[in-house]
Amino acid sequence: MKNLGVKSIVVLAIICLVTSGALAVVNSFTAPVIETAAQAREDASRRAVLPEAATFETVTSDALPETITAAYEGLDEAGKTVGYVFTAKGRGFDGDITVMAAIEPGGTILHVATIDVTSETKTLGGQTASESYTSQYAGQDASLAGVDAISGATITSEAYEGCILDCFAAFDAVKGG
Amino acid sequence: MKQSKLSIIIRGLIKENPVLVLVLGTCPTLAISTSVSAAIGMGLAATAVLICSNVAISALRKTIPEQVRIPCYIVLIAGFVSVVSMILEAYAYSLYESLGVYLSLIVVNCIILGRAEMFANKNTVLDSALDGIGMGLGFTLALTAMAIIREVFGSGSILGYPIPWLTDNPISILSMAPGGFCIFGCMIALVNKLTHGNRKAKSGCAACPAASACQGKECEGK
Repeated sequence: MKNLGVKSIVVLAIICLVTSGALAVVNSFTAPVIETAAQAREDASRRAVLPEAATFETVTSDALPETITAAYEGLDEAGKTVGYVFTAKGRGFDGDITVMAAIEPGGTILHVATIDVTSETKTLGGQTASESYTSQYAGQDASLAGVDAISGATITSEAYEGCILDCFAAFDAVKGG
Repeated sequence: MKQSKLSIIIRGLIKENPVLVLVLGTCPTLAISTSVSAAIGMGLAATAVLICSNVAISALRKTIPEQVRIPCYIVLIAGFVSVVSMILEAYAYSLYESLGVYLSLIVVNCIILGRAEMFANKNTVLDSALDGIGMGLGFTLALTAMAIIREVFGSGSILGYPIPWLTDNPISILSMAPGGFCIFGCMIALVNKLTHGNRKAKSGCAACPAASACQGKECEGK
């Protein structure tokens, strides 16, 4: 009986060790590929909001709002700044929503893209993913005067606008520094 | 008792289809069968894990003591699922995204643990591998058949391409849980009729769908 107990522990321990080792090996192959692919996807989405930029450089500032998860400066071929791209993640109705905004150096929005609103009600807050909603933001400044909320989706609309306002705050923080 | 190699594979496809006859792995079946491409992807991923785990468990069947067999099986299965998950994330991202959390849930897919218990730990490595192929393909088949019905009539599209009239008149309930259960039940009834039409005649052990795997050992021939 005692021998069986020891054998059980030993066999289980060996299986765990071998499996962990195998996983570490596979991870060493796949992790770099996953990393590169994720970067490429992010670059593609940044390019979608700021097509004029040839390259993107990270910008940092101590005064960035908490909700900003990524801040980039878009430079054209000559190295001139064509705009800034900010990704903001805010609390929506039923989860986090992720929004990306491209702001040109003068302080108005060039383009807004909804990255993730899967947590919102598909037929209400989910409408923020549509072109008709996001196109409202083009040309707006920090007052967001011309933007209409989606009726029946107050919380999502306010969360979305909050994210965009955070992008403006980030723009001020980055411009100032 | 001696089963031909081919019959092991064929058995998993219809006669002992894991989803429709053994009624295992119903969670992913209902969740993923709303889209044909996700269904095929899930089926193949689960098949890969099933074959690997069956082979590993069969190879170790004399080494693993009975008391710790469940933890050992789970560690092995989780290891294979993690490998499949990493490979999909690196090389087939769109499939990885569409499977979402259900990819990780393959670890607790009853088909895999069920076949490990029912077959792999009592049979040779080759037989277990063939059983994995048969059961995995049967799972994929059942999943795809359900997905075709649910996607075509529930969303009016097939593999993402919209179908002219159906896309404007979808039967939305089929894409949701209640519709899924209805289709599931109908398919079980259909397969039942096709394969075990005259099952009324048998009783006791012979009437159980797991009869060929268990051979009366589980209930001690009651």
